Amino acid sequence: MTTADANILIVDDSAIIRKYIRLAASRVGLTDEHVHEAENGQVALDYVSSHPIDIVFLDLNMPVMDGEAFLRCIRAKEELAELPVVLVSTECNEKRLQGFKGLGVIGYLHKPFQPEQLRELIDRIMRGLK
Amino acid sequence: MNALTEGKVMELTCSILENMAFMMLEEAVDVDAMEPTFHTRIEYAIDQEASEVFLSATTGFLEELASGMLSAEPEDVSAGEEGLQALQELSNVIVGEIGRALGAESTPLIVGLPEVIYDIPTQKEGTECLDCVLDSMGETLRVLVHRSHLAER
Repeated sequence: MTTADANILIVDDSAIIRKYIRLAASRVGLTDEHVHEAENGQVALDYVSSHPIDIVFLDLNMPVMDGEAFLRCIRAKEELAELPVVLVSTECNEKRLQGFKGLGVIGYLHKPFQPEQLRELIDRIMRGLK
Repeated sequence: MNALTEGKVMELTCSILENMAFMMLEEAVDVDAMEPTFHTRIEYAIDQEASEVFLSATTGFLEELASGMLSAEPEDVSAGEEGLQALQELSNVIVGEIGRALGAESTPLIVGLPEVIYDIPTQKEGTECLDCVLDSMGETLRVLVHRSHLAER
């Protein structure tokens, strides 16, 4: 798999943050058809259950189903238990972040972030997935 | 309880906007000239505090914010759409940084969801009010924190 072939899912209730991440993804070679969006954890859960996704960029504070609930749901499903997840959030509580590592989170991007930080993270993760 | 001052709120807001949208802000001088059109509200709770953060911004400020985030020209974004989305996200990030200033790295911080409101309410009795107004090329953002300390209720 090359970076350009990867399918990513952006899960965030903020439409502008989804566009912001989509823009950063385009700059590491991901075309629009490989970038998918969900506005909350429930929509994301439905999506990853029926579409091949290589990596999820996940916000925590969302309506309907928050990021933590989404994470616990996918880890409980055998077919999604290994799905790579990166948190993109304002969360800074060390104990809570440690807990997310225990749920298999492979990266964390603290908001606010610059587009360059996100591009570097996507690039690093995609290289690691090859 | 950690100290939170207007200066700290101003400092963290400037830093966030520089990171998110490449905006350079300074303290507004002519506050009375501000005519904010858009407002948001978000709640947070940490330790013995349950507070609200209100943001108010002018149309031009929102266009600059959204276009900075999306690497677009200000005329290519709408203040009422992308601008308001950006203001809600900004309120979420500001609360995250306020929480960090108040010790959220080791103390649980509960953050609500940002909402668009039609005006900023007057200060409630018994709350501490932090009020700062920032300027970016004549366009303004007001950050208002109404802090309520549970032990004092």
